[in-house]
Amino acid sequence: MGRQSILRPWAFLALAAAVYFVFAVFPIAQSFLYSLYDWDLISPEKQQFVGLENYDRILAGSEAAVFWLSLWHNIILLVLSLVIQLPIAFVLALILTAGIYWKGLFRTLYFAPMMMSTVAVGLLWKNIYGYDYGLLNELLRAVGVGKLAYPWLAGDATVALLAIVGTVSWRFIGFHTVILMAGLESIPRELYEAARVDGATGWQAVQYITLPLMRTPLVICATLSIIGALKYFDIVWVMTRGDAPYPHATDLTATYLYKVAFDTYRGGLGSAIAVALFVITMGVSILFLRGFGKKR
Amino acid sequence: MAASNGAKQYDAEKPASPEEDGLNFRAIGCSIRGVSSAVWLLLAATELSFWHIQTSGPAKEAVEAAVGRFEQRHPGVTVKATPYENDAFKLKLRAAMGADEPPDVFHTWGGGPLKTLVDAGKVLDLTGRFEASWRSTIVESVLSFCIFDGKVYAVPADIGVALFWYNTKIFEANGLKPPANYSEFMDVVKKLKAGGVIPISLGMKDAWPGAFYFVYLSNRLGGSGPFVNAAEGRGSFEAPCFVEAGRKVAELAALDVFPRDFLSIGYDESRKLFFEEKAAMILMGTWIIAHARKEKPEFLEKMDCFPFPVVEGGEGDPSVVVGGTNTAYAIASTCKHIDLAVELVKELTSEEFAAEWVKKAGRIPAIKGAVKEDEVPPQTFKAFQILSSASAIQLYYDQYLPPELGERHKETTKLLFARRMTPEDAAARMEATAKEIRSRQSRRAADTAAERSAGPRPVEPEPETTRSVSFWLLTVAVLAALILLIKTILKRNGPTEHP
Repeated sequence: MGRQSILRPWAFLALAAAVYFVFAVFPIAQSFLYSLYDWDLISPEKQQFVGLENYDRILAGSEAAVFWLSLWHNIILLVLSLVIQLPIAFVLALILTAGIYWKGLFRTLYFAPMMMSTVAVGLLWKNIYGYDYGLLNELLRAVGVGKLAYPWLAGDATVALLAIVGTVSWRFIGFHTVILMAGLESIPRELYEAARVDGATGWQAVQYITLPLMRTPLVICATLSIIGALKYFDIVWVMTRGDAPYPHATDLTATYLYKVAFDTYRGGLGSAIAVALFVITMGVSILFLRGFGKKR
Repeated sequence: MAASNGAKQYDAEKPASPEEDGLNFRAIGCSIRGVSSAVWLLLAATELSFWHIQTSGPAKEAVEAAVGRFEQRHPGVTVKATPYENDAFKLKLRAAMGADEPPDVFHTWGGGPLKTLVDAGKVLDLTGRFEASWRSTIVESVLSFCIFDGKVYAVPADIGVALFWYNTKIFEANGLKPPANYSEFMDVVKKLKAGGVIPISLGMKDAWPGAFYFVYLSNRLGGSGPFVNAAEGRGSFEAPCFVEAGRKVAELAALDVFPRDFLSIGYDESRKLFFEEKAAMILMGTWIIAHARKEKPEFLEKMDCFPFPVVEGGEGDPSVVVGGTNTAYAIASTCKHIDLAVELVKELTSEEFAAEWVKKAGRIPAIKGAVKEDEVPPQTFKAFQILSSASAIQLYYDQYLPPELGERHKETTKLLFARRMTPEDAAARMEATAKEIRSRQSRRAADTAAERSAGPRPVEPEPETTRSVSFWLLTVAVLAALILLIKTILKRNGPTEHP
């Protein structure tokens, strides 16, 4: 006891804490600072303090329309991710843990999209969705329904967004499946046997045993999905840069941020968008965990 | 220190005593160390870093050959040449400039983006080292894109001009010939559509291929004056030639003559459509010749070009071509070996380089006299002829304007092509952005001027944005946080209730 045992844990944590501080905390604090300036990203001495002007601009000023639109797209992605990815992943996990023969193989196959680089996934699906040479349209033409061939990413904005959501879902369903499989396998078999003895049907077993016990893994998957959807960038950027079928049609907050900061050399405004996104993500996560986390 | 001791105490006239021998060795040892570190410094110091964008093909070979010749002529100097893909290069250069660790010599397109770097003091002024003998070999019209305030900041090596490239076989099959004016052009386009082929290939993922149309149309309609005036604040982006150009773009887009997904494909897919003869024409820069040679050489015999047609009723000079220097080289102000860097740039803009550039890559160099009919691909020569008879080269607007305004131009153009914005709105948006940028710049200038003079700060006009929104939001957030904090503290320290 005494000073030794109090200092020791801190000493061991010091290095990790230092790394975390330098690479996570400090840049975030810097972003907060930059968002109060008008900065052109390449000349540190030409910053000009503008206070909350950047925030005014994105919340209610000249950039507000695009900012809220991109945030709206984030929300669409969020809702669709939860509604599409989690149920499908859950069903797949149930099937795989029900005792099929090649469980390991299927698990690897479903997880494979996660193992590909996001740029590769984006380019792959961009080509699939192409009009003249895309796989999807070629498939439709090959089976004779060429009339259904559509410029998926270049026609209607909603269709483009849904197409992108499709790609994102393809990538992450396997991820959720693997997590949920691990959760399912930790439920003791005896519970199901007891339920069968009591006369419960399959569906009732799922309702009263599986779902309550899967609460934690489901919340984990949902939280990851939510946070991921709010800050998503890669696949959208590679597929459309947020600007197809017309500028800002498929913009997410992160792609919009990138364009503001790096294409138009407005570092202060970009930082303001980053800070806004940070606050929103933090708020949503806290609310979600409060609402659906451990209630006891 | 030991060396100076040894030097001080070692006297040539005095006989070397045993102690002085020891000091002597130390002196030699130290001086060897000194000399070797000097040599090491010298060796490590004579390396130039060079970033360019020729990642493959004959263009890359031409650049690397020039670098090789430079290294041969300057033994002991190595050049670390790193090619980056176009968009990756822009980002990397920006990051390097911001971190003040830029490459010594780097590729640039001149115009607005280069001016941004110049204004930030990151680019070396080459005027003094750009001797008349060198200057006389460079084509003046593209050199002007690298000159700001009368000072030369980059030397161009290449000229790119945007022309209509067309498939001669498809035109023949449909009984068409290159149009002489814009209404003929519209006829050609309609006939091609009726003939079942994609009339014009276009990929607007990055918006610049479509911007060519807007620039040409506004130039043909109003001449070069309105744009320069608008860019410098004397005129307006709502001038009639811009609105009319927008109208013509919308008209063209309404005819559905582009690939079905032209709003999401890029230059690569659009040229693929052209090379594979699914599309009959493409308005593109002369660099497409290099791509054709590499990707589909057998298509070259069916590929010819015609200049952008004259627009009836327009005031602009119909011989003007839209283009720029797609390869110019500048030197960073942090470069430590300026003379060597200048020599490297000289090599990269030399006649030997130009010969390889035009013969192997088929691109037009910015060096005079390099294009000879029998030595270059026929398309290059045809383009060169059109270029030579042009009265001026109009720089692409997004390269001329500061980055923010250039992006706005590309955005409004894409919206016009997507028919989601009226020409009047597009023009108004451009003008509004231009005004905003100017007011920010003047405010920044006033600020720095005030700081420099250290006098009382001038009263700045309040910006028009609704100041209150974020302010109130922040106040509410801070209050909420305080309340939460107080509640938590009270809960902790308040009376604990025991059941």
